[in-house]
Amino acid sequence: MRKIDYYIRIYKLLSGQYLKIKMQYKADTFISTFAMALVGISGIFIYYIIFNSINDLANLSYYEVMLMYSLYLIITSPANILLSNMWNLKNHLLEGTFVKYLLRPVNTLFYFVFETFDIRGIVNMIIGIICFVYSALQLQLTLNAASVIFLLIMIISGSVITGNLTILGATTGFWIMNSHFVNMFVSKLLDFTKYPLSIYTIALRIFFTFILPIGYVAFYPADFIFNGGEFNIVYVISPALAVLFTVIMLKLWNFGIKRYSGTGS
Amino acid sequence: MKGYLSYIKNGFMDNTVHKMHVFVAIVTNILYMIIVYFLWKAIYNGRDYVSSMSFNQIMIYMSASTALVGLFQTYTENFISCRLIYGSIIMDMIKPIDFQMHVFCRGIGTMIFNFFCVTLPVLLFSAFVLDVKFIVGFNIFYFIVSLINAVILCSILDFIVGLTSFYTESIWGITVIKDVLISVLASIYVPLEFYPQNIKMVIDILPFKAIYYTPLKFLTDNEVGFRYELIQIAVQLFWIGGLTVLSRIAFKHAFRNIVYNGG
Repeated sequence: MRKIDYYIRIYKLLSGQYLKIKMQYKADTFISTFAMALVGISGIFIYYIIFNSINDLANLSYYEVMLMYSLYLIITSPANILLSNMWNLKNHLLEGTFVKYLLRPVNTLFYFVFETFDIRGIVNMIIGIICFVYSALQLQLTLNAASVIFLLIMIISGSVITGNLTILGATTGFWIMNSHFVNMFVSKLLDFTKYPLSIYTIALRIFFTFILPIGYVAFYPADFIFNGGEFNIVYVISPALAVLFTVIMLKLWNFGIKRYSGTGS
Repeated sequence: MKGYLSYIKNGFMDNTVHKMHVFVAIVTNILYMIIVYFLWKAIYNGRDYVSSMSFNQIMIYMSASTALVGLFQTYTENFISCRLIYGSIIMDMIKPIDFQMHVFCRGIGTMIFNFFCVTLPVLLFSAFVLDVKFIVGFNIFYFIVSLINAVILCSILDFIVGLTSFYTESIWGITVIKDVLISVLASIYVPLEFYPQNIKMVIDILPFKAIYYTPLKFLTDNEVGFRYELIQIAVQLFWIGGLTVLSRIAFKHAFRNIVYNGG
């Protein structure tokens, strides 16, 4: 219990510190928040244009696709907000400043993750929630309480999977130093989830369900809703996959920081 | 002339530092083409034509637009803002070479690099794996002319956007806004043929269309007619002229406002 208090206190100190840094650049924060909102909205706009010429995409209507896309925005937001420091890991590794995290009497991953947060990411979460409610109303969705609770579990699982993939991408930096391009690769990979999984071939679908489970980032939670909240083995394993990926991530992260030897300066 | 060439070479060499970059650029773009292929396959859903474009035409359009987005990715804005923030821009100001030309040449060097590590792999992947049949005829000539104009137009636009960092001291947000606006208004993700009429009218009076849509249209359709071809290229030249003037004014203004901490 004392340990948890200790970590909460450190978290408060870290986030307070970071807010002060960010307050220095008010114009920048404002402009880039607007930019992120624009990115989120442009995705919906593109679907709007596509549906100008067609009636359904892989048997999904416009509002169904919109619901799926809003889940994509909601589920990827926590990783965008909390894990922004993962993009900086390569700088710390290349310049040798990563040592500072190893010398602190706190968990390295905890300290590294919570040192920064990207408050701007919240804007996409808000857009996602608005779109979700709007399209759910248009579709006149009805779900029972158990389904709603499980939907929340699926959303959390999807977020955890996204977060783990982001950290895993950055972790490769312990071996290859400049992990920027792997981070880019992971974020491009998540682009697959902006579109219904059912447009891909069966091989890709299996790959994105069991091996690299990014199907859980948007498609399966949406699919769960479209099926009226009925349980199915594919949906039920989502928390298990989230746990499995967390274990893999922790193992590799710890292996990576052991391997890290600094720059010698 | 030699000075310009060495800046082009610089731009090229800067990118060759990270070998992983080349590999990841190729892989991510090919991944993206796979997404695009399946997305449009699902949109066409067995139909021959949607919004007067055939599936092959749309695949030409999408693979060429991906190739061009990669080609034009020069990070010019970051280059300008980095030089401003770290103060090395002072060294550029005292050189007998125009700063805009310097940035332009560096951008060309980067584009040459991008051509080999993005444009070519994407086009080859589309032609040989996705079986896209490119229309080869007299349209290729117009495509190349309009592409050269697009390169110039894109460089001027990047330069103007880069100059905004003189006022905001941040560039990430501005660059993202520019990228989103261009991707929507220059119809990178969806051809203009799919847009509703009222949005099309707005796009017609903006310069962004001339960067991507104009060359892409020449590539996907060889029956647009001589008149259309000439008008579109004239429009490109008009925007090059207009934006050049604008960029010079912005450049003068920005450099007059530059404040240094003596460092």
